[in-house]
Amino acid sequence: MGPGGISTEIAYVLGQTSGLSKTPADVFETVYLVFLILGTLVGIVVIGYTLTKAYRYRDDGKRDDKSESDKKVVRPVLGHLPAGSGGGKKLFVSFGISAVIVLSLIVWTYSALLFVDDTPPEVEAEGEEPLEIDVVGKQFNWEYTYPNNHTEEPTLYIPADRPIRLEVTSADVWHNYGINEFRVKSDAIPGQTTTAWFVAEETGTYEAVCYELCGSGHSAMRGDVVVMEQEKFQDWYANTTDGSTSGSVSSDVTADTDANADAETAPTEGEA
Amino acid sequence: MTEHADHDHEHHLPPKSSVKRWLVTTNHKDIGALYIITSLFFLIAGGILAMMIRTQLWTPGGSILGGQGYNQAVTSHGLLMVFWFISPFAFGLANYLVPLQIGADDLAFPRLNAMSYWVYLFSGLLFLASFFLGSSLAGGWTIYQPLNVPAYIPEVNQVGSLATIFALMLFVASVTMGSVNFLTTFYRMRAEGLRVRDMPLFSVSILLTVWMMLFAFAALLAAVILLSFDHLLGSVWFSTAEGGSLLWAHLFWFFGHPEVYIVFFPALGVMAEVFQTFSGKRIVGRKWFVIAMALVAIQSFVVWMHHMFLTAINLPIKTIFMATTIGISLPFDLMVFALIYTLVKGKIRFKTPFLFSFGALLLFILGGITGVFLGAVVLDYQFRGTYWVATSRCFSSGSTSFISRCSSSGRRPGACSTTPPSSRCGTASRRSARSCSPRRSW
Repeated sequence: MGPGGISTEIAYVLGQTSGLSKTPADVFETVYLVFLILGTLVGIVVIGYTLTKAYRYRDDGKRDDKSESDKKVVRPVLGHLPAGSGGGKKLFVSFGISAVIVLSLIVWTYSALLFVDDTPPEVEAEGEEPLEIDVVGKQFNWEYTYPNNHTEEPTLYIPADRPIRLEVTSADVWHNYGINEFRVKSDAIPGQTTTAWFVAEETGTYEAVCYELCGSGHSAMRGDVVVMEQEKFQDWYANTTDGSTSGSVSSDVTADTDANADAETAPTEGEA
Repeated sequence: MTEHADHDHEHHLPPKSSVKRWLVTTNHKDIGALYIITSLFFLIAGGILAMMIRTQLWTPGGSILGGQGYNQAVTSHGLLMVFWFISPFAFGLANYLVPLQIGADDLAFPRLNAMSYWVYLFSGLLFLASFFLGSSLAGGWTIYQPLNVPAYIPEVNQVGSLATIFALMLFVASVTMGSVNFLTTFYRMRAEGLRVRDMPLFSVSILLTVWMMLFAFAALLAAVILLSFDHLLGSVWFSTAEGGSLLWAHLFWFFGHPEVYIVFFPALGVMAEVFQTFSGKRIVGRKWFVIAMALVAIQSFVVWMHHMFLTAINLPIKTIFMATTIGISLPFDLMVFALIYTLVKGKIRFKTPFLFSFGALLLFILGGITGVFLGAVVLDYQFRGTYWVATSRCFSSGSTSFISRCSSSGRRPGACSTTPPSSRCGTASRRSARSCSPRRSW
């Protein structure tokens, strides 16, 4: 990868794109790709160098101690206090290079961190307010509360292409809420509220999983995330009422919703 | 003089063939051997638990262990490997080698040394016994709260959980006795004229390790004492809704991060010695290597919150801890380069000990690269709770530490007093000119 490639990526992550085209998931993918490529390169260079030198300077009994290049080398001598060999300059050059690589990578990802930790401002400017949903983890389920106080459990219904802002907490022990597909993850800690946001770009059914060991039901602590088209979501949302729950909302509404969601999922997947 | 002291020890101890000898011994070499053998026993115990984990995962929704049993296996595997295997294994070596490397007759307090071994053994046995007292802790090796307070532990299992907590407290007691003992030895019993900075690198690494242990384990002890109050006295340190969880996380990781280096440093010391010995060359940039190690030891106490990036800590704090985390990776870069450049122009003998250490270095490079991924907070968010962290951790701390220390076991320390390991030969003959050749073939 040439420097041009990296600077394109930098421009991308620094936010010279607009609106919804940049989501936390995109940012993650870009940063991950750059790290993967650089990490692989560094690994190949360093390990290749090490193996080559280890082979080159193996003791095959043929080399003579008195050869020119060996004279400068400090060999351990009986009775001496431990000392160091020369070669300090090379050491510092390599150290300097590695420090520059690591530091510049981290400075670069810092802007990505600011983006992910912040609320999505450029989206708000377009008049599409993020949908705020409270998430409460409890052994062993997720409970969601929408702005109109409607609660839903264990399935989360959200619109596509609209930022979702989660406020995550726990009713009992430490959980961690994550939807892998959208690269969103947040600790659910009793007495604390953490926030995270994401955008679901494609309709369909995904999975929310607990990422912190929380008891014997931990591995089953997962719920569906149903992403619907915006109009479908508006219809569904209009049917929920203040303070209703997934159980108390008339079951046909929920069933209807599920049908909607399913109907929604099928064609989308067909298109894709 | 060393010989003379050794003879004194031998006089009042029964012969090595008698069982009694191993029960009453205060000799640092004997205790070193006991530490190593005992830690290997716990390695096997932890390994069996690992096999049980994999057996459970053989089929989806595995039913061999049951939910609670599986969680116990996971938790105990982590605790056993981190506390009862990897550190004591290092301290077996340190017990054996440090007095020899710095020219001391024994550790400063031989009886205290024996006591810390026996407390260590009993803490481990108590830990294993907790399985049969209901159930041991089952909330992961990080023992996050409030999952491990009585309210979330079934009634029948609470005795076992309490036993685990006591086992941890006993272990910390053993570690603290050991730390004080080693520190006194290092500062009061070095051979005349041997400055701290001139000690062989394995001893330097152990000195820094025991300093870290002294402070880090204090935080763990505080945390487990409070946890035992929650269990015994009904206090609510960790179950209170406001900050109970975070209190534990802070205390635990304040211990937990230095623990990573406590586990790794002895291995680093072994690698440095083995690289010098088997490449027939002094280490490159020795002074900077020692300074880098000291920097890591100090910095290890200011990076703990990078284990808590997702816990609603604010951006300035996150930034500070991101910076310290990256800062602590740089001295490691320097140390890795120093080891690599030591090979250049050496005369490398690819004997078993070197192969182990060389493999450990390559593993550590890979572990270090994946570690840099975690330094980027955006990536860290998503890797949290995944195999990425588990693998990075097990690669760089677990395997590397173990493999590199295997290389020192490969040197047959049993033959030490008459034919010192060659790594020591080149570096530490101060008192008398012992007969040993660095080129000695094994």
